[in-house]
Amino acid sequence: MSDYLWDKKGEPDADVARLESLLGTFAHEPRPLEWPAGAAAPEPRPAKLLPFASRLRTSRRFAPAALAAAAALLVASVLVASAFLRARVADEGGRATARESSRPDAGARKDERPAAPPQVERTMLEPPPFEDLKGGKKVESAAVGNLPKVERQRKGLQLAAAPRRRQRDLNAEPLQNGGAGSGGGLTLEAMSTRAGASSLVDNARLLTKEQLVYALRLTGAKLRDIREKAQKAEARP
Amino acid sequence: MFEVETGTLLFAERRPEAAEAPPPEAALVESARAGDRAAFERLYHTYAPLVHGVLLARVPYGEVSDLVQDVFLTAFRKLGALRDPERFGPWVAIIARNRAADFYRRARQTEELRDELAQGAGRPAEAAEALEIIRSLPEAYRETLVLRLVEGMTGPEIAERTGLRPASVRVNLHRGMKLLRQRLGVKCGGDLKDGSL
Repeated sequence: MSDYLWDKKGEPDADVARLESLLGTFAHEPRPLEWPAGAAAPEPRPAKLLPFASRLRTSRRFAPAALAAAAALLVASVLVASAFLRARVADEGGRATARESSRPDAGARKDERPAAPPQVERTMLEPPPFEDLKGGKKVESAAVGNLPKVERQRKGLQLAAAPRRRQRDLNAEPLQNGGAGSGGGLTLEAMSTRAGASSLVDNARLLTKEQLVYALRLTGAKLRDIREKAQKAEARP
Repeated sequence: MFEVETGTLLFAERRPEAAEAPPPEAALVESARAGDRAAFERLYHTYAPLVHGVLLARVPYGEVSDLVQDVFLTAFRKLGALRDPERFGPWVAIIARNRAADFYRRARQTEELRDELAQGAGRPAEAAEALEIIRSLPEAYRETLVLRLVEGMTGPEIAERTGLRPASVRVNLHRGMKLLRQRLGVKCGGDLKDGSL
């Protein structure tokens, strides 16, 4: 089907024909192109970073694949970034403590001699006073004294090694310096920093654990002692 | 007859020969890219009515001729940025639309337009009035109507040069003409058949 407005075929529409004749006075009048004096040649084509990008963009087959690949890449990069950030946050404290603990280790390796535990540790290491519980009798010294000689030596070695291990594990520099220098006082400066507070918590946990182990060994020694005494009493006529 | 016309239409839409050999415009674009000014002048003569119509639908008649020159010189300078040489017409039409928008941006900053430039000096008042009414139509209609009624292009020619689909051009022409008839009738207080606008 053809109509005059569309392709100028068929019977002319009176309104369209009149408007054509009226508005035709505004039509383009051909005139030569006026080149300016300094008209340069066309600018070179901009370099393509990805030569296949335009083909991907215009291709209906590859456009969804390209979109899917871009989305997958985006998701993967987000996951990697979040994992990296999480690992970094987790390692932040560990790296700080490792940096701080490397210094006393180097000093300890030089003299190869276990330093005396600071006063604060020594006081925390000591078992709870049994005098109040047992009416002034020193159960601990009695129990250790009742142990066989070899076992006593082994226990002495263990007790000597414990502070050395703890000295190596000490993380907080302020606590160590303050403890050794000022007679074992817990300073506010040591506790106010984050590293100092976290190392203090770690130290307290370690000390509690060792106290528990110490108490269990002591109890075991006492039980063995009592059993031996009971066996001797039974063996007597 | 109908079958023959239909077959011709289908043949015309498929354009198998166009796939084998590039259209002459593409070859002209390639030559112009290499600095051939004669090739670009041929493109100018082919597409100047299109650019003129696009500009006339937006800016005052007195400014259009200079802007046409300006658009083609810009196109020559930026010819390297044209990706598909076969789409020179749509590309240069976009440059013309942008230039028209730029014209108003600059005009607002400098001075008010003179009346004779805005109306089209030396033209019948009726014609200027009709053109003004066309300019008041929605953008899709006014450009198509100017190309059809002022520049004298047919619907298929408009579709080919602007890069629009023929169906869209046809719809724009018919709806735009209907709207134009309504507005002209309201303005003149009667129908167009009495010979006055």
